[in-house]
Amino acid sequence: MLLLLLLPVVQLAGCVNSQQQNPNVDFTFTTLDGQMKQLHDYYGKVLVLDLMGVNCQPCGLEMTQLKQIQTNYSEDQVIIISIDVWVSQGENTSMLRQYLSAFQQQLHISLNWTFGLDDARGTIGNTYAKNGIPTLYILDTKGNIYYTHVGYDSYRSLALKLDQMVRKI
Amino acid sequence: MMKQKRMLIFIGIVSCLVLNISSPAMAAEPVLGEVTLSPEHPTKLTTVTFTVNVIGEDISLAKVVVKECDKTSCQRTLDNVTMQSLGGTRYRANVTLDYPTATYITYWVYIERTAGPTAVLPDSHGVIVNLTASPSDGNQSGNNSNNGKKQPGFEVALFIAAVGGALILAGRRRYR
Repeated sequence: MLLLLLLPVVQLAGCVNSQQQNPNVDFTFTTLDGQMKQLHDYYGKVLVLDLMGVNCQPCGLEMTQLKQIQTNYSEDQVIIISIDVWVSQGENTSMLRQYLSAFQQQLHISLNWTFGLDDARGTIGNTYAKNGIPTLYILDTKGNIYYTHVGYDSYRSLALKLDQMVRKI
Repeated sequence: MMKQKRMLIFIGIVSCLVLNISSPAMAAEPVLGEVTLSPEHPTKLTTVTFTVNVIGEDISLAKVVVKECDKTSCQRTLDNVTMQSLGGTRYRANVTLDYPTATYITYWVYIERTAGPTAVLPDSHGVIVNLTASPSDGNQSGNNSNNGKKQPGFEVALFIAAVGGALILAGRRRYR
Protein backbone atom coordinates (compact mmCIF):
# COMPACT_ATOMS: atom_id res chain seq x y z
CA MET A 1 0.00 0.00 0.00
CA LEU A 2 2.81 2.35 0.94
CA LEU A 3 4.71 1.49 -2.23
CA LEU A 4 1.67 2.26 -4.41
CA LEU A 5 1.29 5.61 -2.68
CA LEU A 6 4.93 6.52 -3.18
CA LEU A 7 5.19 5.43 -6.82
CA PRO A 8 3.71 8.58 -8.42
CA VAL A 9 5.66 10.69 -5.95
CA VAL A 10 8.93 9.19 -7.06
CA GLN A 11 8.00 9.82 -10.66
CA LEU A 12 7.19 13.47 -10.00
CA ALA A 13 10.18 14.26 -7.86
CA GLY A 14 13.81 14.87 -8.74
CA CYS A 15 13.53 15.18 -12.47
CA VAL A 16 16.07 18.00 -12.69
CA ASN A 17 19.26 15.95 -12.97
CA SER A 18 17.69 12.93 -14.58
CA GLN A 19 19.03 10.72 -17.31
CA GLN A 20 17.34 12.87 -19.96
CA GLN A 21 19.40 13.34 -23.08
CA ASN A 22 21.36 16.58 -22.94
CA PRO A 23 21.99 18.33 -26.23
CA ASN A 24 25.56 18.61 -27.30
CA VAL A 25 27.28 21.96 -27.23
CA ASP A 26 28.84 23.30 -30.40
CA PHE A 27 29.72 26.75 -31.64
CA THR A 28 32.32 28.76 -33.51
CA PHE A 29 34.80 30.93 -31.69
CA THR A 30 37.92 32.93 -32.49
CA THR A 31 41.18 32.02 -30.82
CA LEU A 32 43.62 34.60 -29.48
CA ASP A 33 45.69 34.36 -32.62
CA GLY A 34 42.70 35.03 -34.81
CA GLN A 35 41.83 31.52 -35.97
CA MET A 36 38.22 30.42 -36.30
CA LYS A 37 37.60 27.17 -34.48
CA GLN A 38 34.62 24.92 -33.86
CA LEU A 39 34.08 23.43 -30.44
CA HIS A 40 33.59 20.02 -32.05
CA ASP A 41 37.23 20.16 -33.12
CA TYR A 42 37.94 19.35 -29.47
CA TYR A 43 35.53 16.43 -29.10
CA GLY A 44 37.05 13.11 -28.18
CA LYS A 45 38.15 14.25 -24.72
CA VAL A 46 36.36 15.53 -21.66
CA LEU A 47 35.88 19.27 -22.10
CA VAL A 48 35.72 21.86 -19.36
CA LEU A 49 34.08 24.85 -21.01
CA ASP A 50 34.41 28.11 -19.12
CA LEU A 51 32.34 31.07 -20.35
CA MET A 52 33.84 34.19 -18.82
CA GLY A 53 34.62 37.86 -19.18
CA VAL A 54 37.70 39.93 -18.50
CA ASN A 55 35.82 42.37 -16.28
CA CYS A 56 34.22 39.64 -14.21
CA GLN A 57 35.97 39.18 -10.89
CA PRO A 58 34.36 35.83 -10.04
CA CYS A 59 35.61 34.63 -13.43
CA GLY A 60 39.11 35.54 -12.35
CA LEU A 61 38.71 33.51 -9.18
CA GLU A 62 37.49 30.61 -11.28
CA MET A 63 40.73 30.73 -13.27
CA THR A 64 42.65 29.65 -10.19
CA GLN A 65 40.43 26.59 -9.88
CA LEU A 66 40.78 25.79 -13.58
CA LYS A 67 44.52 26.03 -13.19
CA GLN A 68 44.34 23.27 -10.61
CA ILE A 69 42.43 21.15 -13.09
CA GLN A 70 45.09 21.73 -15.68
CA THR A 71 47.76 20.74 -13.20
CA ASN A 72 46.05 17.59 -11.97
CA TYR A 73 44.57 16.15 -15.16
CA SER A 74 46.48 15.30 -18.28
CA GLU A 75 45.59 16.88 -21.60
CA ASP A 76 44.89 13.40 -22.92
CA GLN A 77 41.94 13.26 -20.53
CA VAL A 78 40.66 16.78 -19.98
CA ILE A 79 40.82 19.92 -22.11
CA ILE A 80 39.94 23.36 -20.79
CA ILE A 81 38.53 26.04 -23.06
CA SER A 82 37.73 29.54 -21.81
CA ILE A 83 35.61 31.81 -24.00
CA ASP A 84 35.17 35.52 -23.40
CA VAL A 85 31.47 36.10 -23.95
CA TRP A 86 31.50 39.84 -23.27
CA VAL A 87 32.84 40.74 -26.69
CA SER A 88 29.49 42.26 -27.60
CA GLN A 89 29.99 44.64 -24.69
CA GLY A 90 33.37 45.80 -25.85
CA GLU A 91 35.89 43.23 -24.63
CA ASN A 92 38.41 42.22 -27.24
CA THR A 93 41.53 40.21 -27.96
CA SER A 94 43.83 42.88 -26.62
CA MET A 95 42.02 43.03 -23.28
CA LEU A 96 42.04 39.27 -22.99
CA ARG A 97 45.76 39.14 -23.69
CA GLN A 98 46.37 41.81 -21.03
CA TYR A 99 44.26 39.79 -18.62
CA LEU A 100 46.32 36.66 -19.17
CA SER A 101 49.51 38.64 -18.92
CA ALA A 102 48.37 40.14 -15.60
CA PHE A 103 47.79 36.65 -14.18
CA GLN A 104 51.30 35.71 -15.21
CA GLN A 105 53.00 38.84 -13.94
CA GLN A 106 51.07 39.53 -10.77
CA LEU A 107 49.99 36.09 -9.61
CA HIS A 108 52.66 34.01 -11.36
CA ILE A 109 49.94 31.79 -12.79
CA SER A 110 50.20 30.91 -16.43
CA LEU A 111 46.79 30.24 -17.91
CA ASN A 112 48.02 28.25 -20.84
CA TRP A 113 44.96 26.46 -22.08
CA THR A 114 42.78 27.42 -25.03
CA PHE A 115 41.27 30.88 -24.85
CA GLY A 116 38.86 32.31 -27.37
CA LEU A 117 36.30 35.01 -27.98
CA ASP A 118 32.63 35.12 -28.83
CA ASP A 119 31.49 37.02 -31.88
CA ALA A 120 30.37 40.66 -31.80
CA ARG A 121 26.71 39.61 -31.58
CA GLY A 122 27.31 37.57 -28.44
CA THR A 123 26.07 34.33 -30.01
CA ILE A 124 27.77 32.02 -27.51
CA GLY A 125 26.89 34.11 -24.47
CA ASN A 126 23.26 34.52 -25.52
CA THR A 127 22.92 30.77 -25.94
CA TYR A 128 25.05 29.24 -23.22
CA ALA A 129 25.55 31.93 -20.56
CA LYS A 130 22.13 33.49 -20.19
CA ASN A 131 22.16 33.35 -16.41
CA GLY A 132 25.46 35.02 -15.80
CA ILE A 133 29.15 34.24 -15.81
CA PRO A 134 31.22 32.36 -15.14
CA THR A 135 29.14 29.55 -16.55
CA LEU A 136 30.92 26.22 -16.54
CA TYR A 137 30.13 23.13 -18.55
CA ILE A 138 31.66 19.69 -18.36
CA LEU A 139 31.08 17.98 -21.69
CA ASP A 140 31.58 14.34 -22.52
CA THR A 141 33.67 13.17 -25.45
CA LYS A 142 30.78 13.84 -27.83
CA GLY A 143 30.07 17.31 -26.56
CA ASN A 144 27.02 16.36 -24.50
CA ILE A 145 26.48 18.30 -21.31
CA TYR A 146 27.36 16.24 -18.27
CA TYR A 147 27.40 19.07 -15.74
CA THR A 148 26.75 22.79 -15.73
CA HIS A 149 27.10 25.45 -13.11
CA VAL A 150 26.54 29.20 -13.04
CA GLY A 151 28.91 31.13 -10.84
CA TYR A 152 32.16 30.33 -9.11
CA ASP A 153 32.68 26.58 -8.66
CA SER A 154 35.51 25.12 -6.63
CA TYR A 155 38.17 22.76 -7.90
CA ARG A 156 36.92 20.14 -5.47
CA SER A 157 33.42 20.25 -6.90
CA LEU A 158 34.66 20.15 -10.48
CA ALA A 159 37.12 17.36 -9.76
CA LEU A 160 34.35 15.16 -8.35
CA LYS A 161 32.48 15.47 -11.64
CA LEU A 162 35.58 15.10 -13.76
CA ASP A 163 36.63 11.93 -11.97
CA GLN A 164 33.22 10.43 -12.72
CA MET A 165 33.55 11.38 -16.38
CA VAL A 166 37.12 10.21 -16.78
CA ARG A 167 36.27 6.82 -15.26
CA LYS A 168 33.63 6.28 -17.92
CA ILE A 169 36.09 6.72 -20.78
CA MET B 1 82.86 66.09 -46.39
CA MET B 2 80.71 69.10 -45.55
CA LYS B 3 78.82 68.63 -48.76
CA GLN B 4 78.02 65.03 -47.84
CA LYS B 5 76.78 66.07 -44.42
CA ARG B 6 74.56 68.73 -45.89
CA MET B 7 73.22 66.18 -48.38
CA LEU B 8 72.41 63.72 -45.60
CA ILE B 9 70.62 66.39 -43.59
CA PHE B 10 68.68 67.47 -46.66
CA ILE B 11 67.64 63.89 -47.42
CA GLY B 12 66.56 63.42 -43.83
CA ILE B 13 64.38 66.53 -43.87
CA VAL B 14 62.81 65.58 -47.18
CA SER B 15 62.12 62.04 -45.96
CA CYS B 16 60.35 63.36 -42.87
CA LEU B 17 58.22 65.68 -44.96
CA VAL B 18 57.29 62.90 -47.36
CA LEU B 19 56.32 60.57 -44.53
CA ASN B 20 54.16 63.21 -42.89
CA ILE B 21 52.35 63.95 -46.12
CA SER B 22 51.81 60.36 -47.17
CA SER B 23 50.60 58.92 -43.87
CA PRO B 24 46.91 59.55 -43.21
CA ALA B 25 45.94 61.77 -40.31
CA MET B 26 44.63 59.58 -37.43
CA ALA B 27 41.85 60.76 -35.15
CA ALA B 28 43.02 60.91 -31.57
CA GLU B 29 41.90 58.01 -29.40
CA PRO B 30 39.04 58.98 -27.11
CA VAL B 31 39.86 59.45 -23.46
CA LEU B 32 37.55 58.98 -20.51
CA GLY B 33 37.47 62.04 -18.32
CA GLU B 34 35.50 62.59 -15.16
CA VAL B 35 32.73 60.12 -14.32
CA THR B 36 30.11 60.86 -11.72
CA LEU B 37 27.50 58.52 -10.33
CA SER B 38 24.32 59.69 -8.74
CA PRO B 39 23.84 58.60 -6.06
CA GLU B 40 27.53 58.54 -5.35
CA HIS B 41 27.14 55.36 -3.27
CA PRO B 42 24.42 53.41 -5.06
CA THR B 43 22.50 50.53 -3.55
CA LYS B 44 21.19 47.47 -5.33
CA LEU B 45 17.79 47.58 -7.00
CA THR B 46 17.95 51.35 -7.47
CA THR B 47 18.46 53.66 -10.43
CA VAL B 48 21.93 55.09 -10.93
CA THR B 49 22.67 58.06 -13.18
CA PHE B 50 26.03 57.87 -14.95
CA THR B 51 27.43 61.18 -16.24
CA VAL B 52 30.67 60.80 -18.16
CA ASN B 53 33.09 63.07 -19.92
CA VAL B 54 34.48 61.55 -23.12
CA ILE B 55 37.16 63.56 -24.86
CA GLY B 56 37.74 62.56 -28.45
CA GLU B 57 36.96 63.09 -32.10
CA ASP B 58 34.33 61.58 -34.37
CA ILE B 59 32.31 60.09 -31.52
CA SER B 60 28.96 58.95 -32.88
CA LEU B 61 27.66 57.02 -29.89
CA ALA B 62 28.52 56.41 -26.27
CA LYS B 63 27.15 53.48 -24.32
CA VAL B 64 27.65 52.52 -20.71
CA VAL B 65 27.94 48.82 -19.95
CA VAL B 66 27.05 47.91 -16.40
CA LYS B 67 27.49 44.47 -14.93
CA GLU B 68 25.99 43.58 -11.60
CA CYS B 69 27.99 41.05 -9.63
CA ASP B 70 28.06 39.26 -6.34
CA LYS B 71 30.95 37.20 -5.04
CA THR B 72 30.17 34.22 -7.26
CA SER B 73 28.93 35.56 -10.59
CA CYS B 74 28.21 38.56 -12.79
CA GLN B 75 24.91 38.99 -14.58
CA ARG B 76 24.25 39.79 -18.17
CA THR B 77 21.76 42.53 -17.49
CA LEU B 78 22.15 46.16 -18.44
CA ASP B 79 24.17 45.67 -21.59
CA ASN B 80 25.07 48.68 -23.64
CA VAL B 81 22.80 51.40 -22.35
CA THR B 82 22.97 54.23 -24.89
CA MET B 83 23.93 57.52 -23.31
CA GLN B 84 22.28 60.84 -24.05
CA SER B 85 24.60 63.58 -25.26
CA LEU B 86 24.48 66.65 -23.05
CA GLY B 87 26.48 68.70 -25.49
CA GLY B 88 30.22 69.08 -25.68
CA THR B 89 31.96 66.05 -24.23
CA ARG B 90 29.36 65.02 -21.66
CA TYR B 91 27.02 62.05 -21.80
CA ARG B 92 24.44 60.72 -19.38
CA ALA B 93 22.43 57.55 -18.86
CA ASN B 94 20.11 56.18 -16.18
CA VAL B 95 20.61 52.56 -15.31
CA THR B 96 18.26 50.61 -13.06
CA LEU B 97 19.93 47.84 -11.12
CA ASP B 98 17.85 44.69 -10.88
CA TYR B 99 20.05 41.88 -9.56
CA PRO B 100 18.74 41.15 -6.04
CA THR B 101 21.99 39.83 -4.57
CA ALA B 102 24.44 42.20 -6.26
CA THR B 103 27.18 43.50 -4.01
CA TYR B 104 29.07 45.55 -6.60
CA ILE B 105 28.86 46.77 -10.16
CA THR B 106 31.54 47.04 -12.76
CA TYR B 107 31.07 49.48 -15.62
CA TRP B 108 32.82 50.79 -18.68
CA VAL B 109 31.99 53.11 -21.55
CA TYR B 110 31.79 51.81 -25.08
CA ILE B 111 32.42 54.35 -27.83
CA GLU B 112 31.43 54.13 -31.47
CA ARG B 113 33.06 56.53 -33.88
CA THR B 114 32.22 57.77 -37.36
CA ALA B 115 35.80 57.18 -38.41
CA GLY B 116 37.94 54.71 -36.58
CA PRO B 117 37.46 51.63 -34.50
CA THR B 118 35.22 51.36 -31.44
CA ALA B 119 36.84 52.04 -28.11
CA VAL B 120 36.30 50.77 -24.61
CA LEU B 121 37.12 53.11 -21.76
CA PRO B 122 38.96 52.48 -19.55
CA ASP B 123 40.82 50.34 -22.06
CA SER B 124 42.18 47.74 -19.68
CA HIS B 125 39.43 46.92 -17.19
CA GLY B 126 36.08 48.12 -15.91
CA VAL B 127 35.55 50.38 -12.93
CA ILE B 128 34.30 48.61 -9.84
CA VAL B 129 31.82 50.31 -7.54
CA ASN B 130 30.77 48.60 -4.34
CA LEU B 131 27.08 48.80 -3.65
CA THR B 132 26.01 50.17 -0.31
CA ALA B 133 23.86 47.81 1.71
CA SER B 134 20.22 48.82 1.50
CA PRO B 135 18.07 49.09 4.64
CA SER B 136 16.00 46.07 3.61
CA ASP B 137 19.05 43.77 3.38
CA GLY B 138 18.67 42.58 6.96
CA ASN B 139 15.05 41.59 6.39
CA GLN B 140 15.64 39.41 3.37
CA SER B 141 15.48 35.68 3.97
CA GLY B 142 18.39 35.16 1.56
CA ASN B 143 16.84 32.28 -0.26
CA ASN B 144 18.23 33.31 -3.62
CA SER B 145 21.61 31.75 -3.07
CA ASN B 146 20.92 28.41 -4.67
CA ASN B 147 22.21 29.56 -8.07
CA GLY B 148 18.79 29.09 -9.60
CA LYS B 149 18.79 25.35 -9.08
CA LYS B 150 15.27 24.31 -8.27
CA GLN B 151 14.32 20.85 -7.14
CA PRO B 152 10.77 21.22 -5.83
CA GLY B 153 10.05 17.59 -6.40
CA PHE B 154 11.92 16.40 -3.30
CA GLU B 155 10.03 18.72 -0.98
CA VAL B 156 6.70 17.59 -2.40
CA ALA B 157 7.81 13.96 -2.19
CA LEU B 158 8.70 14.23 1.48
CA PHE B 159 5.42 15.93 2.31
CA ILE B 160 3.29 13.37 0.52
CA ALA B 161 5.30 10.50 2.02
CA ALA B 162 4.77 11.94 5.50
CA VAL B 163 1.03 12.35 4.95
CA GLY B 164 0.77 8.85 3.45
CA GLY B 165 2.69 7.32 6.34
CA ALA B 166 0.53 9.11 8.89
CA LEU B 167 -2.67 7.91 7.17
CA ILE B 168 -1.46 4.31 7.12
CA LEU B 169 -0.51 4.40 10.80
CA ALA B 170 -3.87 5.93 11.69
CA GLY B 171 -5.63 3.22 9.70
CA ARG B 172 -3.73 0.43 11.49
CA ARG B 173 -4.61 1.79 14.94
CA ARG B 174 -8.29 1.90 14.04
CA TYR B 175 -8.32 -1.82 13.14
CA ARG B 176 -6.67 -2.96 16.38
